[in-house]
Amino acid sequence: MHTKGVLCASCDIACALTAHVDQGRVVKISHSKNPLLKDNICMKGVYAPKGFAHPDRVLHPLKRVGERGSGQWQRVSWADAMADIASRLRVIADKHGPEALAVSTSEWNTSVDNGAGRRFLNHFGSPNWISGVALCAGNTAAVNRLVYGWFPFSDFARTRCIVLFGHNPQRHSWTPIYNMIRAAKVRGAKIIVLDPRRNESADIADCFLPLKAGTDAAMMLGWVNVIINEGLYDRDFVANWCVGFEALKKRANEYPLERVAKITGVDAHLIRESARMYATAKSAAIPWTPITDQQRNSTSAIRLQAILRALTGNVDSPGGDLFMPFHPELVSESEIEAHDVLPQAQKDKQLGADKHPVCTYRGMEPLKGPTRKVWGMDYANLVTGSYMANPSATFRAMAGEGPYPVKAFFALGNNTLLSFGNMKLIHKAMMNQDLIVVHEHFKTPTAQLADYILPGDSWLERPNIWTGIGWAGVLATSEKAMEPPGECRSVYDFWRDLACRMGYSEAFPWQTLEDLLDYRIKATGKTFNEFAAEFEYKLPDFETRKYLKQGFATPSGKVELYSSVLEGLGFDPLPYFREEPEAAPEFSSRLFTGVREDEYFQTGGRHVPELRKRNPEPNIFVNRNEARRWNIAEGEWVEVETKVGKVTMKTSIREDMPDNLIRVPHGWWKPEMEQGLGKLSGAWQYADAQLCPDDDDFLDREQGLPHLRGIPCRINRIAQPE
Amino acid sequence: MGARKNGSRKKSLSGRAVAAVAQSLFTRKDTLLNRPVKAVARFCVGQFHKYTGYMKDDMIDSDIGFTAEELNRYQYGSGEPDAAPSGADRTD
Repeated sequence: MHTKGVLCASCDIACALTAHVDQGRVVKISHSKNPLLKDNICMKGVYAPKGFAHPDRVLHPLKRVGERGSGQWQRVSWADAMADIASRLRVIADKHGPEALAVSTSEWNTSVDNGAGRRFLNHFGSPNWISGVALCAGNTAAVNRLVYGWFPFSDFARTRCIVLFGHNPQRHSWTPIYNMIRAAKVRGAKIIVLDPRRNESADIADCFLPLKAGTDAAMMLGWVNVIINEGLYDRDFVANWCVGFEALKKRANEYPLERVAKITGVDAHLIRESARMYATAKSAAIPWTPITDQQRNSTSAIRLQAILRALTGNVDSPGGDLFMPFHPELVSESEIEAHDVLPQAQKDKQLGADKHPVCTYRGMEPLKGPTRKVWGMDYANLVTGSYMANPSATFRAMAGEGPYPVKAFFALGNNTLLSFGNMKLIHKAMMNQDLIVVHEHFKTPTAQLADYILPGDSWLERPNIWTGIGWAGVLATSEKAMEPPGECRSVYDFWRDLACRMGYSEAFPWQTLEDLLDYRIKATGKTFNEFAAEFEYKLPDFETRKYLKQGFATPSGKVELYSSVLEGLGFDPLPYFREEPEAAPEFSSRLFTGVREDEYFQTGGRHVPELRKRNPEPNIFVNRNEARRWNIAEGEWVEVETKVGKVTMKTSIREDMPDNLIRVPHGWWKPEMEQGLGKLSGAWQYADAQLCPDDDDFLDREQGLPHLRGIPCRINRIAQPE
Repeated sequence: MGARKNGSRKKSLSGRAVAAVAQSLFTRKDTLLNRPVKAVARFCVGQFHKYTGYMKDDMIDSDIGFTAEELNRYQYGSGEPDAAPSGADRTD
């Protein structure tokens, strides 16, 4: 028995763990040997060896032999699969242009992409890359860049105040963040929690604001109003480093606390007190939250978080939110992605850039020069969220709704069908493809519709370098603990093989993933294996207030409270709150979805017996009043219905839920259920993506992402499903 | 301005010392420097746990892992490790 130091990728946090290896297999996962990291471990990591050893894991390339979705597969060799994929891709590109290829990844799951996928796409000529990060952190990074040119990471270790906008890290979800928040609380930091539900974080909060779902932007406009009008802002920082203060003040004055109280449902006095608590703290952090990533007012809400950091002088300051530059000893993913290779004419074709440009090449173009000046590069693809096609627009093009055909689709470590809004559209889009390639561990609902399922490796079976895709600053290493089973391979192997077959071998000089990792850390003077044997983490330079020397990477060189980029794109340059549209009277409740559960990460993990035993069925949360209103009881099966779809779930009555709100869990399907078209292993029965509309009323204007926080709905009691 | 510069330099020196000690905690190899640093950190974390206890978790604390035989049997049944996975040729 020996051990290896690994980074978990069973969720997106990348906890450093220890893999115990016996007879060539990882047989146990325990915490890191580093005392400071020993608490960063959860059940998903502990049961990963069992999950990766599941008998239904795809171990060899599979080719569809029947109709799409018929479930008829033939085992083929990697060489045959890749030759056919390359040949068919060439035919599609010749007929429709290279932009007819779209790619979707989760980024976190594949984790060893190292920028190679985007590098392939840029050489091939397609700008149509979408990702789960469009709804989770990547979009936040892009929107933060509009305000001050970078995406900060909260200084949990030193902060005196933490504001959690619906973010609810727990013992088994976002575990390191949970630990850092608890430790900060013990140190005496104030905790402010804003959440419609009285969540677990609220139990330790100094101030809890039970706001209505999806009203975060209005709440923050109220805070800005208080902070400005009570003179609680950092006058020096605002005077020297911000532009647009007077315009922001005028906008904030359109949101007096009485109005904000009416919109959010929170008492005006509590709003005022919480704003004071935040603004007068010696230092304060607003950590990233998925909640504001997924709203009709997402761009405004994310910008307002950035604006609050700026007004209170907490930008890149100790205890505030820190700008972590790319690690100086590492070739960043952004460099490997080679965005300069993609011709401007192809960039201009990026789907969705006309209507929802913020996270696209078009939206980021004004930041190119400033980013070069401040951070030394044209393209800083933080969390890979800055140069994406719009998912909804991509699915519409795939479905044949224009503006041009997209006929080839690759999904890598991404259960696309269940991962964005409007699942019916995604299904239609996939059924309209000439070629679908999925790189996966299991026959997910998305994989069931593919032409090829290629077997993916896991985080125990490959080496890795992790930097939070440019967000965290730290350079972390993961040793390969075991050989992949069967013919499982990394995404890097897939992209390089395809690149060589398509004539781009010169752009991929690294024959193996290990070669690429050696290249990425060449500045250290060590090979990856030497480096990983020595360093668990290579810490970054924690220098703060870097703007004093370099300014901000925005067109003005300052924090743009009034966004010149948004103005140039034809949007409101100031943050605002857009009221929800009128709902049909029968949809008298509201639901929020997109919420992960402790046992699972996104759509994965339901096949692990120990985790499934803890959480066997998808449960909605409602309180007693809501249950009474819909005539349902604990444990009963119900249909949750919105104007676009319905799902089947079990009832769980929870006193921490407010009236008129239903929590729907994210990403449910049942791997043990019947596969193939019409069934898709229960996805049509359980997947919350069916509930999410993506028409204009329910899309954020600037980014074009779906609203998951407060969708009008109703509940119908049903018999127990078979 | 001058005072700020001096202050920055002092901070930078102490910052560098703190960074060196912090980095020693995150190296996998045991060295003369990081052994005592890790021992102190282990003691402090232990005391902190005694005080707070919020990380106790039976599922994690009692986990004993698996055996290689158990995982092989689970994944491959009685077949060969290189056999086609279940479902590879299904036609449902």
